[in-house]
Amino acid sequence: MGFMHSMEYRTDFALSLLSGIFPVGVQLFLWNAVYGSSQESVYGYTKLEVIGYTLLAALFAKMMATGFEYEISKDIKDGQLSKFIVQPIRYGPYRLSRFLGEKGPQLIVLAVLAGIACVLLRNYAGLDITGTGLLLCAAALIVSVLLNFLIYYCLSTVSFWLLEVWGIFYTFALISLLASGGVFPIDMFGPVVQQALGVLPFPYLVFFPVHIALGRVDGDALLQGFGVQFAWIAVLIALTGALWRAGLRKYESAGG
Amino acid sequence: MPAIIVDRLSKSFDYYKKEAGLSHSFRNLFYRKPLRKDAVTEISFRVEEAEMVGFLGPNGAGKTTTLKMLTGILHPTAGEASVLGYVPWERRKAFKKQFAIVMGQKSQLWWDLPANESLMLNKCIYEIEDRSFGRIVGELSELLDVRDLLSVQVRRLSLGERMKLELIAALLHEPKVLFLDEPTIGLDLLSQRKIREFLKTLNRERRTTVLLTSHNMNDIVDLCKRTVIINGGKVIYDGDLAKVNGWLDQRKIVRVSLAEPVERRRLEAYGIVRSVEDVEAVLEVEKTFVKEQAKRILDDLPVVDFTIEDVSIEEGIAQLYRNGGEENESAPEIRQDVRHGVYALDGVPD
Amino acid sequence: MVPWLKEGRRYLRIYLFFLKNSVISMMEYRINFLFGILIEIGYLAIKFSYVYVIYRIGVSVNGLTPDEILLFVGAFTIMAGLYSMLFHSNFYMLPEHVRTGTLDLMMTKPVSLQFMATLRSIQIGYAVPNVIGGTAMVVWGWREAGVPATFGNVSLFVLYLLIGLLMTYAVFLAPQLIAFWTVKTNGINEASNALFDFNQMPMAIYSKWIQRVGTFFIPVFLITNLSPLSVLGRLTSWQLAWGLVAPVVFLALVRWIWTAAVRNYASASS
Repeated sequence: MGFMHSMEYRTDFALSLLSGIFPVGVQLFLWNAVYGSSQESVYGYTKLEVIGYTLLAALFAKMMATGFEYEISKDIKDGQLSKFIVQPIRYGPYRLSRFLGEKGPQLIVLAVLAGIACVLLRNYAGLDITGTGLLLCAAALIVSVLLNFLIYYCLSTVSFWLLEVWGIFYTFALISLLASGGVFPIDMFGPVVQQALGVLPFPYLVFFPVHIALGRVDGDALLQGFGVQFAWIAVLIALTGALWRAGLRKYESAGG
Repeated sequence: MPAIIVDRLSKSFDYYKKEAGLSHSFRNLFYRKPLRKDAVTEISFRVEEAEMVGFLGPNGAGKTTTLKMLTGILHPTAGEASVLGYVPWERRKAFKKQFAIVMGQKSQLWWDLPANESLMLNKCIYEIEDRSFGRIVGELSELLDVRDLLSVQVRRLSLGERMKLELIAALLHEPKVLFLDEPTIGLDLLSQRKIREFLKTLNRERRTTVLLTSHNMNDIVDLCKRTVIINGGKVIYDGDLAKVNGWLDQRKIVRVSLAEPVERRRLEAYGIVRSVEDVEAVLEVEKTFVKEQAKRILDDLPVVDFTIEDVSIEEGIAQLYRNGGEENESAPEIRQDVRHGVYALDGVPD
Repeated sequence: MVPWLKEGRRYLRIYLFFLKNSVISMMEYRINFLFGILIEIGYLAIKFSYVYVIYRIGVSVNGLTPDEILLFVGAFTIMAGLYSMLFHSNFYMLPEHVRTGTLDLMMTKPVSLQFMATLRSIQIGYAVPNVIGGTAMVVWGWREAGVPATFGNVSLFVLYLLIGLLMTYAVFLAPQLIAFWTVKTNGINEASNALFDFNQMPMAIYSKWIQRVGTFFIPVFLITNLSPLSVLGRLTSWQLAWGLVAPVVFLALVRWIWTAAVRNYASASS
């Protein structure tokens, strides 16, 4: 239905596709100009590598886009949450399955596009992209999508304490985009920033999977990356559970 | 000279039909076939200066479209109109300063601000002098009893209060012609009455010409001596509202309360049975036989209570709508002559 | 008094009312004001990341040093703030005015409909971080790039920013006017905003072909490039001339589209 709906507004449909391409265009031109004046590699990236990074990061960052946090906030505000307290459905699994259901088709389209991009980058740009790398990248992305879901699920609990939250969600998404490597590879920000960001979950959403695909992560770093991903998932499950319970206590005492 | 002259005004527009299914969606991506709808077809009428005319019709009859053409919002497909001697859709500044439109479901007041601020903005837009501004706001808010509401944020007001302030905002520049589109829609009875009283005063004391559309029959009955009824984009009646059911005048409604239930068949002997419910019955009797039949009913049946009524205006109009709404020419039996406002009946439709 | 002067004063007074009303609304919804600032800080962080990366790379890009590039990013940031303060919410609301019919009531007012519909709301919140951040970038870049801070230079910079503002109005209102023909315009909105972001970097990084399109056909590059180019003394004579002519041309063009759009609205809707 959603698809047919967007087909109905034909100009709109084409234009929203276009708007996704523009920012990538700006970056590609920037890199073209930067490498145009110095031929060597910049921060360990050759020109083709950085182009590969830009393309894949743009696609992966789109995979990390959410929207359910606004719905949760609305459920809490309107008292819709009460339905779930009474019914034997757990709210978390309900949200996750809805999220995956709605996001699923988009994820597949993005994955196909990323696959095409990888083939082109390997065949025409000579980047070191291997089948194993892509499989590992896919595995990392699956974990990333879950991790990202948990981040926003955890964030959405602020709705228990604050009436208006949309500005916080929006700003968070912008900062997350930057911190996950969706704009620039985070190692370009320098070792200090990279290490600081490395303890946070964000770089494991975009930067890490892109680097796996480009074959820039080897054995130890790979294991370590997956390790951090799972560690953050564990932490976020615990944290979200605690926040959610505290929030519910407030919600129920307020008679929601 | 009449304040409003409408001469064979027509308005049609293209729209696109939505068809279900994915393949249609794909096809629509490249090509859509426009369909044409006639919203208003060759309507004509006149409104004299200081007259208050009701514009009546069911949903989608073309009332609002006509008002939009008369206020210059829409351009007609064909025909002519003049309001205060101006062609509305030329949208001259001098014209805009002499009329106002209030639409029940649209607001010109700034939602988050007190109405005062919107009034000040209109003062600036219409170039109203300080002194007359103060006087007008004073008078109007006194009449509508909303003095204290001027400094309250519009979104905190009730619908009725808001409509009163909409009226003030629209009347600041003392327009000669006022168009009202469903001014009492959704309002409580008290506000409705207040607004009607206000409009009467306005019309009487300022000689403001008013053209008003409404679903609310009370608005029209109370305010307008004359009514233009349109349906399916055509004028189907123009004249005194009280006479709208003139052609139904040949019938009377007889209501009977009985001591015990009576069979329907027995009742049919006295007239057309409209309804029987337990001991309550409603009959339609031809006027010429009313006296005779009433006597028979009282004699024959165990009557507890008994009334004779005219067919209501609503019913007359509903009958008109039904006839006017049909596409064929045979339906409206009322011949009209707009210039003279004379209507003749060709026969009584059933 | 001269008639046009009188009209000018009336419009100025109405505009001051718009400003006043917007300030009162802003006070009413303080949280939206705060969120506006917060979000713009987020965007500012992204804009700043470009500058940061370029400084770290430290090489000249197509003949522009990082300091000089900072001047461009600063001008872009200021303009992004002014755009979202003065125009964006109005342009965004336009389809809504068409859909809900509030435009109808505006049409009956004895002032320019275009003025009423496209300039009525002023969102100060969005401008605060951008104008402050952008000005800071300009000042820093200006000093480091060694541009003399003469009165002439500063006026030139401001003059081209004002021209950029006029260009912004013309270039970004035009696509929104399609709302008069079709109802849904989210895509247009997104796409035109993405176009604005092409100014994130100096136009010099783009290919000649794109530079030409962005200067003459969809003149987004005239919005923020002319100010820094002028004070860096790199404005070619044709850029200087076109920079002065283009606002007139494109404002006339958008006026023409506007008139056609309203005419279409008046004859095609019911």
